[in-house]
Amino acid sequence: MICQHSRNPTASDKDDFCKKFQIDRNDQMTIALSVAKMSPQKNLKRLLRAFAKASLHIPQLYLWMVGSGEQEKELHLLSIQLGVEKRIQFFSSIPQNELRCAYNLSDFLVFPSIFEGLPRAVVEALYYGLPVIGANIPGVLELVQNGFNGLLVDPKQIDDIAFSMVRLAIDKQLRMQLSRNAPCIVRKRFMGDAIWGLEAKLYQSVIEGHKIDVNKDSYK
Amino acid sequence: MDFKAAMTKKNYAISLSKASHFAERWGWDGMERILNPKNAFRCVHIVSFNEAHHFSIRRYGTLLLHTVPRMSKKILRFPLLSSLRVAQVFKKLVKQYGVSLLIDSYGNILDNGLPTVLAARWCGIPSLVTVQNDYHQLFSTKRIYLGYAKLNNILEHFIYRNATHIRSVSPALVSYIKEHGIKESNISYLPRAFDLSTFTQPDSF
Repeated sequence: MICQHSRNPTASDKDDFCKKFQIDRNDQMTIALSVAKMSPQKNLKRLLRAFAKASLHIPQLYLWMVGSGEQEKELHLLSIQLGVEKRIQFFSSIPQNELRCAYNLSDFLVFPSIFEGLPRAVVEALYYGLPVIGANIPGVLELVQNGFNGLLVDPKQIDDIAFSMVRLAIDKQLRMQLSRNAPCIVRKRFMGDAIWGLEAKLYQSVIEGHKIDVNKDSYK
Repeated sequence: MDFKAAMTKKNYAISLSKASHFAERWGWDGMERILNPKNAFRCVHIVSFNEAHHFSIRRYGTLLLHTVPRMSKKILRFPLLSSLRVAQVFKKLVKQYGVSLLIDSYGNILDNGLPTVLAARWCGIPSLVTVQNDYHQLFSTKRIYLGYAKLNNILEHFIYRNATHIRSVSPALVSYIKEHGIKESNISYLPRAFDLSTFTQPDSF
């Protein structure tokens, strides 16, 4: 099981992806992407309600939801109740190469979690140049700067999430600008090589019982 | 690196709830890069306890995979019971391979942190626990059985008090750990390393 995913998705990868999930992706569509475990923490019910509101204003707005979890059935049902089931694509859990296609084909990421540590989906999306509509909570605040690489919203305000989705869907220029800035913070702070060095140092220090100074001299 | 130099390196053990998911996501190469940072360790023992199937690979480079026998879904719902099973496997590894450090680095703190801390105490070796979420809020969103959140909060507190060192992946979580009465000198803020080499950027960047 060697990783075969360390290349960019080609046009044929994207075609295969669209064929597999029976997606007709065209330039008129604006795709909002959600990559999150379907649990209450991720606040996906509010996201669906916000999407339903936003899609009233933007008929070409679509939502792709990647992830599985305890709320999967509930969210399917809610999308039917809200009458937006035809504009939402549920992917459940998909492998890394397909996730890369999803990032590549989407226009922005929506991440309205109620609380977080350091969300991997946001880091990956930013690295991939996707602007992020993120919740203004610790964890996301370290990654997303309002107006620089994404938009910050109050995760408990459906209108706030909906407004940001409409804003990004309408304003292509803003999307492009945020997209250009998106990878900067990830390149600067979360690249594996630098952190792995500190990780190795931390492990060694714990083994040897030394005073640990990772905080002080190395990582800020 | 020659054999002599390799033998001077230490080894450590880590528990992952489903190592197969990890391998599927990152590939075995990626998994080795992530779990054996900078190849600083001779061997990394992975204890994968929530696996319904057996692995086709038991060893990959410096990674050595171990499963936990007789781990049913029922047992997994009760962190104390499942942790005791995993801790016993850890204990065996410490004896058999001379493991120098036990680490909980990925997944839920109860699933991975509790056996790490328990086994480290039994064997008298250091343990490192990683906090990557606000568990107090996380437990309160789940209602698996009556008293689930309360029990988990007590166990979480036990883990922090008994870990040799705690790593926080976000600065906001440092204050969360401090609320449990842990000294700042026992906490390190170090974000998760993202193996972005398996996630190359589009050519336009």
